[in-house]
Amino acid sequence: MATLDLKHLLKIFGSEVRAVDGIDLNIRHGELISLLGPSGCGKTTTLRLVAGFIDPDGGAIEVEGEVISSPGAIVPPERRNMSMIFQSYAVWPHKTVYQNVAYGLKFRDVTIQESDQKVRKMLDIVQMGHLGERYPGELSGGQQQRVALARALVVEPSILLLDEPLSNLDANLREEMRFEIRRLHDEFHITSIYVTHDQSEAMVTSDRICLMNHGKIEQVGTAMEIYDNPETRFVAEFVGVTNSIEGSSPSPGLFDTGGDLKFKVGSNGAAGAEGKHFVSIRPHRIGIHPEGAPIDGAEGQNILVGEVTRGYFLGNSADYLVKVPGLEEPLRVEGDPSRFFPAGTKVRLAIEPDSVIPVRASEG
Amino acid sequence: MAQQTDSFASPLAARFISARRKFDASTVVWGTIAAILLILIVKPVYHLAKQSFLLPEEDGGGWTLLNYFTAFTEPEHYYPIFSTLYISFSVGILSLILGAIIAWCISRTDVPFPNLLRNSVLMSFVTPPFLGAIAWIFLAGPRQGWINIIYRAITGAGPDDYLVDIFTVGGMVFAMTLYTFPLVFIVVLAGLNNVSSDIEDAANIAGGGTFSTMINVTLPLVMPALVAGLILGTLEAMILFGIPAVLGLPAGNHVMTTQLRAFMSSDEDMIGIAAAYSLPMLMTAFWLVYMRRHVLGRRGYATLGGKGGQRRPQRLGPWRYPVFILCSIPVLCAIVLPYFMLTTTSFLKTIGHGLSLSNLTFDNYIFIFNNDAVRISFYNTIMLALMAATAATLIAAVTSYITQRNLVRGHKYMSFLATAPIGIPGIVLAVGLFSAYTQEPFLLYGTIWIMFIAYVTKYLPLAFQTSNASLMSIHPELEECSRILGASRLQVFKDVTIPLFKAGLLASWILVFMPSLRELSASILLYTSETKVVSVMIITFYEEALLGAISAIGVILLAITSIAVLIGYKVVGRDFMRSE
Repeated sequence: MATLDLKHLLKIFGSEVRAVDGIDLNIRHGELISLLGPSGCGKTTTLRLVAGFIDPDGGAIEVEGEVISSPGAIVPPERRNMSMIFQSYAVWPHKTVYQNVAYGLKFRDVTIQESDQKVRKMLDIVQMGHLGERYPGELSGGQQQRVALARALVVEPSILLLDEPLSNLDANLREEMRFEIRRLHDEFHITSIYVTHDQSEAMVTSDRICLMNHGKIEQVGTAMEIYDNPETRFVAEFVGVTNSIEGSSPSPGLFDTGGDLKFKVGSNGAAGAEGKHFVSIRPHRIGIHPEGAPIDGAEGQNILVGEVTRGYFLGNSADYLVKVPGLEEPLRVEGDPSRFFPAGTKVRLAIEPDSVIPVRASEG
Repeated sequence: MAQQTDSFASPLAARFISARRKFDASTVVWGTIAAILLILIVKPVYHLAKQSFLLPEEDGGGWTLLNYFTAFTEPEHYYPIFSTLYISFSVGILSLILGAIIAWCISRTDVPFPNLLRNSVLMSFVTPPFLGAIAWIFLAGPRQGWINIIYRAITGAGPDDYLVDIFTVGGMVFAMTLYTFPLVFIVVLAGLNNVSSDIEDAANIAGGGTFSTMINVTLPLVMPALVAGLILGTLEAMILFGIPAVLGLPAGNHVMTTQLRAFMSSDEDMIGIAAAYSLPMLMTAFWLVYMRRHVLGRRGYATLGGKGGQRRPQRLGPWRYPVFILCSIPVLCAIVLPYFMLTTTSFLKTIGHGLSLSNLTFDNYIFIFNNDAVRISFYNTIMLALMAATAATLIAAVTSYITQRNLVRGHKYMSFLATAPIGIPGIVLAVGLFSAYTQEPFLLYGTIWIMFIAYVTKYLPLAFQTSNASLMSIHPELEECSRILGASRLQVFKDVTIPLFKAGLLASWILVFMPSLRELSASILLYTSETKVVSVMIITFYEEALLGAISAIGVILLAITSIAVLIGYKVVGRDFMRSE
C-alpha cells in the first residue's frame, strides 16, 4: 500500500501533442481510482507514466512522498514494486498458468516453498487452482484475465495498474469480472489505478473516478458526485445521458437560455450559476405530465410546456423527445412507463431547481 | 509489507538516470546496425553508380560518359535488352495465367487434393531453376531429348529431325515460366483467401450468378494481387541468370544478365560498361518493386482480411479430376519430370541410350566424390549458406526489433534499407560489390567474404520480413508485463522475447539457408577458382558438357535442400514458407 501523487505531470508526443497536460492527482492509501475518458484523452499515457514505461516531460510522480519519475530521472519499471494488468492480458503463451503466476516472485525475496504456497493460494483465490498446469492457449479469455490478475496480485505490489483490463472480454464476462476486480480490491486493499472508457465499469469498481479529456482532468469524485454534480459540460455528457442547455446567468439562482425561458437553479449545485454557460438536466429528473392535469408542488418548480415528438416504450421506462418552445434542441425525458404519451401529445414538464445543474464549458 | 516499501522508490532515483544513459546504450546497437545496413546496401549501389562514369585505369581513369555510349549503342549490347523485355513480359503473363488459375482452383473449387497441389507448387519454388533447365535438356534437347527420341521412334523421322527444341527463346520462356509461376501463385492465393466469402455471398444474394460474381466482385477485389503477381513474375524473369545461361547461350541468345557476365569476363576491362549496363536494370527492378507495393498497399482494398468463415467451394462435378490433372501438369513439368530425369541421368553411362541395366553406373558419383573442385565447392557452399543464414538472421532480427518497437527515430529508413535488396538483381549487386571491393583498403574480391556479403545482402529482405511477421505476433505488453514484475531489460529478453521469437528466427534462418545453397546470379561474377560454389560448379561442368556429373551434383543439392525444407516444416509448422 502506498500513496501516489501526480504533480503537474506533463507528457508531450512529437512536438506539440500534449497527451498529458499538467495534471495533478492524489491517490490515497488503498484507494482504487479510475481514469475515465474517451480514447485519446491521455488516461493510458498517464498510467504508463506511473508504470515508468515512458518518461515525463514535466512535473513529477511521487510514491510515499519520494519522486520516482521526473524529467531526466526515473526509477525503471522493475524497481517500482508495481503490478500491471494489460488490455491484451499479456499472459505468456510459452509458460503454464502456474509459471505465469510464479514469475514475479523470482525477483522477490521468497523461498521456493513460500513461492509455491503463495502461487497456489492466489490461484485458488481467482478460482484457477485446478488449471495450474494448463497453457494459456487452452484457456478462455476470462480465465486468461484471471491468470493475469493472480500474476499481478501474488507479488503483493504497493500499486496495481489496470489498463482497460476488461475491454477484450464479451459483455457477460465483463460484467462478472467487474465485480471480481472489486472483490479482490476489497480483499487486498492495494492502491490501484484503473483505466477505462466504460463509465459503468468505473462506477462499479472504483472508490473515486477521475474524468479526463484532452490530457486534462475535468473532475475527480465518487460516482455519485460525478453523476449528480458534474462540474463541466463534458463530465455531464460523458457520464450518463443528459440535456445540455446553453445560456448565461444574470443573477444567482437564475439561468437565462436567451429565449423566453429562464430556469430556476437550486442552491446545492456545485458553486452556483455565476459564470456558467450551460445547465445539465438529467432526463429522469424531468417529470412529464398530461396538459391541464395538476402537478403536485408546482410552485417552486420549473414548469415547461411542450409536445412529444418521439416516444419509445422500453418496458422499465419510457423515453421521449419533447419539443419545448424557446429551446433549440428537444429535451430528452425519461418517464414512468405505466403512463405512456405517444408522439404528438401536448405535455407539461416539471423540473426541480435542484435538478438543474449549472456546469462550466469544457476547455479545449 | 515494510520490507517491500524498502525495495522500491530508492531515493537515488537519479542513479537510474534513464533518459540520457538509455539513449547512449541503444545508440551503440542501432548505430552498428545502421552502419551494417549502409555497408551492405548503399555501398555497392554507390560504387556501381560511380563506376559507370569512370574510364578504365589503363585508359587513364577519370570521368566519362563513354561507358553509357558503348553499353547502349552497339547492336550486340542493346539487342539483349529487347530479348529481356520480350522474355520477361511473356514469362510474367504466362506465370500470371498459370498461377492465377491454379490458385483459383485451390481456393474456390472442390478440386481434389488441394494441399498436395499447393505444396508441390511451393516445392517447384524451391527447385534451382538452372537445374530444372538442365533437366529439360534431357527431355527436350533436339538430339538427345527423350521427347524427340520418342517422336523419331514413332514417326520414323530422320536423326536430325525433332519435335521440340529447348534451346530457343520459346524454350527459355517455357522453362522460366515453370519456376516463376509459383511466386505469382503465392501472391494470388493469399489475395483470394483474403476476400471474405460474405462479399461473394452478398453478390449472389443480390442476384449475381457464379460467373457474374466472379467477374464483377471477386476479380476486382483480387485485382491488386493479380497485378502484383504479374509484376513479381516479370521482375523474376528479368533478373534470372541460370536459365538463359543454360538454354540461351548455346544458341547465341543473349539476355541482359548473360550480357553482363560477358562484359565482366571479357579480357578487356569492361567493368565501367557493365556498371552502366546495370543501372537501367537496377532502376527498373526498383520501380517494379515500388509499383508492386503501391498496388498492394491501396487502402480501398482493406476489405481483404475479413473473416472468411466457412467457404462453400464451387462444385466442379464430373470435371473435378480433369481439372486436377490440368493443374498438375505445370507441377509435373517443373518438378516430377526434371527430378526423375536428373536422378536417372546421374546413374547413366551414356545419355540418350536409355534405361538398360548395362547402361547403369555409379561412375558419376564416384567422379564427383573424387573431384577436388567439386568437394571444395560443396564445402564453400555449405559454409557460405551457414554463415549467410546466421548473419542475415541476426541483422534482420535486430533491425526488426528496433523498427517494430520504435526504438529510434529513423527506424523507417532502417526498414527501407533492409527491404531494399528486393529491388537489386543479384547480378547487378555483384557488379556493385565487384566495384566496391576490388580497391584497397577493401580488397575482398577473390575471397569467400565478398560472396558472403552478397548472400547476406541478397537474402536480408527474406529474413527481415520473416522476423517482422514473427515479432508482430509478440505483443509489446508481454515484455512490459515482465518488466513491471521485476525483470530488467536483459532478463525480459531472456525470459520472454527470445523464447517467443525462437521459431520465427529459425524460419528466417532456413529461408536464407535454402536459397543460399543454390545462389548463382551473384556468385557467377564473384567466384574465383578457390571460391567456387556448387551452382557455379554446375555451370562450369555444363560448359564442359559433363552432364552426368551435373546430374549427380544436382541430386545431392536437391537432397540437402529437401532436408532443410523438412526441418523447416517440422520445427516451424504449417506456416513455414507462407510469410512470403
